[in-house]
Amino acid sequence: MHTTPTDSDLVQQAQDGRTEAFSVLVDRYRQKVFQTCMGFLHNGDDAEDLTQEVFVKAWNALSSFDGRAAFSTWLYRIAVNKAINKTRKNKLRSFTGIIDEVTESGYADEDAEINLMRREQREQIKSAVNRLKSRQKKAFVLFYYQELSLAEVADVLEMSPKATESLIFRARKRLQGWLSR
Amino acid sequence: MTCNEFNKQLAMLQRSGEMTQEMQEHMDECASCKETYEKEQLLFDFVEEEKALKISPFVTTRIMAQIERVEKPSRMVARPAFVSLLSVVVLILGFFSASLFSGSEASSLADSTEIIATDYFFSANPGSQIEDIWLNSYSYE
Repeated sequence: MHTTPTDSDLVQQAQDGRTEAFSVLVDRYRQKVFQTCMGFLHNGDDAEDLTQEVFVKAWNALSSFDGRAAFSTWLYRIAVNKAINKTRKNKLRSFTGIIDEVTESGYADEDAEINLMRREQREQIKSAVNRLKSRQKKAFVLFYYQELSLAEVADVLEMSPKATESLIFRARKRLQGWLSR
Repeated sequence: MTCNEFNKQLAMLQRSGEMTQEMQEHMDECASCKETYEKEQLLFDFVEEEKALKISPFVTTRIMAQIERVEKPSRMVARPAFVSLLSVVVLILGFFSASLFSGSEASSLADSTEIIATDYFFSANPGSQIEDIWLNSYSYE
């Protein structure tokens, strides 16, 4: 009978240098990591590039993975930290004028006025999410974009579930305040 | 229910669409809280939209190609480094082994130098035999 290998089996094989085992892990977690990256970058191409960077970083750091946390927790930790660094770099680049932000419209066939209004709303939401403090943003993205449980978010952020809950509450309150202005 | 309580409870809801009857009643009466709720809904629609985006299935191939590209150069760097190191070791060994083989000749050279010096300073006719000694001592050259 063929059984699906567990994450720890695959990690062990990957640690022995078997790239095909790591490839299975990539297939297993690429969408989740991509969703996390989307929560920070709000751009499909950038999120895909960052997903690639996250897995390459995970491969290079695999020897330091000691199995104390689940592989997914460790991987998401890399993803959120890399995403935070990337958003900081992007902020700096947009400040210096290197990035020309192009906003894609998903509503090309609709009325121009509605289209414009939606685009403005999206921009308002994006900037509100981007204004969150980094820990609040991490918690918000892991909870709402990845749909992790409070306990799982707490594991990734190395906090207690109670502190994580309050972090998410504060993030929601802040977003509420900024969006209703 | 006050607007503050409504906002607090709204932020405490872990997932959207979990409103209580009390909140619903307050929202029906309060335009401002209704607007806050609608803005929150927009936020969650935005999150859903971004979450629904699928990553390209080819990303795995790209990641694995990048990993293997990184792995290979390290081997390619290691090989020339090993060759250079081996060359240096061989060179050093060659140098010392040469001195091992030429050890006897070096001592005979020292002896002959001593003979030359003794002959020069103590001989009644210094220099007469020097040429012969030199010729004999350095004949191997």
